[in-house]
Amino acid sequence: MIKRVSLLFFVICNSVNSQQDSLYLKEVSITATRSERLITSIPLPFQVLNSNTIHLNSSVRLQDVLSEQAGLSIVPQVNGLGNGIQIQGLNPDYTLILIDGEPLIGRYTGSLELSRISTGNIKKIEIVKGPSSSLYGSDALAGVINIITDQAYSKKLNLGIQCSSRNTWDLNALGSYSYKKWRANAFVNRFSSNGYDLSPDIYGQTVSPFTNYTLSSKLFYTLNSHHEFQLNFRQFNEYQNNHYQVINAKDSIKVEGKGIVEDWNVNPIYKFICNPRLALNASYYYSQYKTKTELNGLESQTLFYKDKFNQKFNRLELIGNFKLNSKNKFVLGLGNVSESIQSSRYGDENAKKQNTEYTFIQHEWEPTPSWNIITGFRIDNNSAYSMQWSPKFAMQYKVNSKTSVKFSIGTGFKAPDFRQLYLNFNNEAASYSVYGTQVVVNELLKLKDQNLLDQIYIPLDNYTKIDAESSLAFNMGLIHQLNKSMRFDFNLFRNDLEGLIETQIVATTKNQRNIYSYTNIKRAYTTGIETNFSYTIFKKLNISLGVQYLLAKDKNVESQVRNGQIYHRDPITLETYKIKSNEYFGLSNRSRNQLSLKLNYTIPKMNIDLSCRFIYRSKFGLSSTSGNVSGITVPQSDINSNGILDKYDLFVNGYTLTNITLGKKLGELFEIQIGSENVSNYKDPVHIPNLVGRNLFINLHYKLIKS
Amino acid sequence: MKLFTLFILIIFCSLIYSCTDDNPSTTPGISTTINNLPADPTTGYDPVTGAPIGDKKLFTFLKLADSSIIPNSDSATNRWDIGFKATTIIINSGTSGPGQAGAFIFNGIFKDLKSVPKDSFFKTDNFPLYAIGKSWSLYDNSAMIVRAVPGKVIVLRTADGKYAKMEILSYYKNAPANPNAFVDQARYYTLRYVYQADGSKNFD
Repeated sequence: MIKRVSLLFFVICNSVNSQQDSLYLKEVSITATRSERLITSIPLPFQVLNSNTIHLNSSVRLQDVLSEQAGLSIVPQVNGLGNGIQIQGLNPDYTLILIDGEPLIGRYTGSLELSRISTGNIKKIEIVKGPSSSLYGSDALAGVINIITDQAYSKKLNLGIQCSSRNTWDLNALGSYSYKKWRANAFVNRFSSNGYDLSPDIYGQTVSPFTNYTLSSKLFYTLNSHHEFQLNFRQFNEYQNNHYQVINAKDSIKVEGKGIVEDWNVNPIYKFICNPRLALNASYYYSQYKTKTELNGLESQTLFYKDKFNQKFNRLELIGNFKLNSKNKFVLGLGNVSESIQSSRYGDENAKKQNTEYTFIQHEWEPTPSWNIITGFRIDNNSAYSMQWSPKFAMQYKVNSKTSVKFSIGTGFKAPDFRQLYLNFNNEAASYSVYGTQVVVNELLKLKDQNLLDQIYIPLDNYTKIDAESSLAFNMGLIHQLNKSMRFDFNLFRNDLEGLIETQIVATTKNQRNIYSYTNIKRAYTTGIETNFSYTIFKKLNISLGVQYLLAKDKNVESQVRNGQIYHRDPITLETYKIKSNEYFGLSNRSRNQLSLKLNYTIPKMNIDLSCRFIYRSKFGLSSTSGNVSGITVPQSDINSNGILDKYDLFVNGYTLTNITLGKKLGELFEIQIGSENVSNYKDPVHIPNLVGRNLFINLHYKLIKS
Repeated sequence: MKLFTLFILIIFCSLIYSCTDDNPSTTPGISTTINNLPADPTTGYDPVTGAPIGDKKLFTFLKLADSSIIPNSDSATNRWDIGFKATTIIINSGTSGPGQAGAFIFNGIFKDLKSVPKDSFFKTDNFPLYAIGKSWSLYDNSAMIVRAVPGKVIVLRTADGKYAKMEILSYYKNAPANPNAFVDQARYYTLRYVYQADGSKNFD
């Protein structure tokens, strides 16, 4: 009897997974190599989240999807304005986010706000970890996230509505249509929320009420087997209704006012398939990102704060794919980027401009079916920083049908951003100013002439131009398909970062205002291991476990600690001790351990899907969050003020979040989902302002026209 | 009152010193702790601009030999060694005064620094670049708190060429372990120093 059961078990497993595998095996991606490539033959750490996963978890914004993946963490932005993504322990500023291959702009304070992106029209999300500057240039230092949206291959009309806690509504409609040589789709989304308040005794909310709209559409025209045209358009508008308390001069002022975010882009593409061996792709991309905030004093009704930001981005790119023979493929690209930013934080209203020309080449070589080797490099030439040369080498070896190993080495870089060059920001309230490197000397000379300087810490002729930040990264991994229902992979990574741009204090005025500027000073590394394990039992239960262990440290600090140059003073006895190497924790905002456990349970007969996800993050430290908008002072971890995170400091506790979704299909066309995010209602208002309490939701999906 | 206690302590120390043997190289330095040394405190902050109110923009001058506060009228004399105004610290030399003072920051443990290290270079003040600078403190922008960095020892040469080592312990009145910008009064230094009166570079 037992034998028969186990035999049955084996047969069922086989039938289910061979189906899934064949699908998986055929899936192609262009993110990792910019040439169509089977996912199973990408020699880089690579991950795909398909629409099914997104749907099953009923995530409506991009951050909801990404936050559930091990090895990706959502971290609050420097000044609490939204959230960014951390890959392999690198800050959000170092991850390039693409929508259908084109970069998302609007790094207002460094990272990109992930809630700008609705998941309603996402077909899949491809994540390449490790530097991809050899193909994408600046910002692709930690990785690339490419969001592939619906490609309009079928006739359909889908409607979705989600209602959740805090009067949050997500409404969306996605329709696509094809007629002869034409294909088109359109997606509209409205997302609104009352925001939330983690500190009710303070006036205003942690996140103020907002409403945003996304409109996205694509038009495809296939003239014949040689010529294809495509036009993409996307528009995003957000309206915020701000009310909060601002700490000003050790006093607090209640303010209110409107905030507007406007982001739109247009992207015409022409594909020329000359012959089966040669294809050319020409694309133009224009994108604009604008924000405007005006705050008035609640009592005085006078203008308290005004901020404008306007970024424009133009890119023209030509890519050629050439297949020499069955073993050798080449990708060649060249392009030009011109961008400008106008910001009230840059001192004057003049647009600051930059121009980058680039070219890249990549060779894909498959000497035998089990080897695949990719080499490539890219050159970026920009006036503001020195020429960047980004080489990359990656290889994959299929040991047998079950196991393959991957290795890659590459460099990445991140250009100094406009803020680091041109910022002219005075926070009178917290009495500090930050100046970009292009303006700092002038500003200091002005202050000196007005006799306002109290002291300087760096002689004025010691200022040099800042350069791009760079990294050298190794990734080494193994994928093992144990049997049809069990899959295991791991990846070892190490990123060595040089010339990281940091603020440094440069002067103090007679009013005791500290003046900061930027410099390439910091050297750091992040290293760790990421493992994923997936197991399917019967057709019904899938268990997947992802774990990441991470060490992220400042190299300068590490050597200072080794040389006994960093100290701790006991606040009671006032005795001073040397910090030991094992007492240095590392960079702030990084957890050593992250874990994500997902259980999906399906009852096919009843059309029911149940999904439970547990996401754990171990303790971490906080650095000084320069700026304060919501009226809460976030205490930094470094309470012994030695400038580093060590075991005597104050850490933010580790925590686990639990998300549950239950879905039921009613017939072919209708589906209902209910669930909860953060079931245990875990909150840490002071340290983790982006962590909302328990969220309950109900989702309805309706397929008006079946695809 | 506290300064008075200190004064008594110093007299006591000096008495001990005069009673011990007169070989200058073996004389221990005089150890002093000063609590709540005012450094141009404010009465508040302008609610709109954030500028400090009620400060006099004047330094508090300290003479290390007897830890007395020297009146501002004597700023152009050799009577003072070191001056404090908010987080700015000056020494009696260069653009700040007529004395021969000098200073540098030594990274290490205060009590373990037995003497002025060999080949030390004493900087002088050259406005707006001062010898002591700001590495002794860290400003926490979000909490708006100035914290004294552990392990920063100010090695000083006084206006009349004697040597001392100094450590700043707090910038807030009564040196709270965890200062709060909204409660605790800033610009009150707690510091300790060892002054070597015999002209040698030894502190122990």
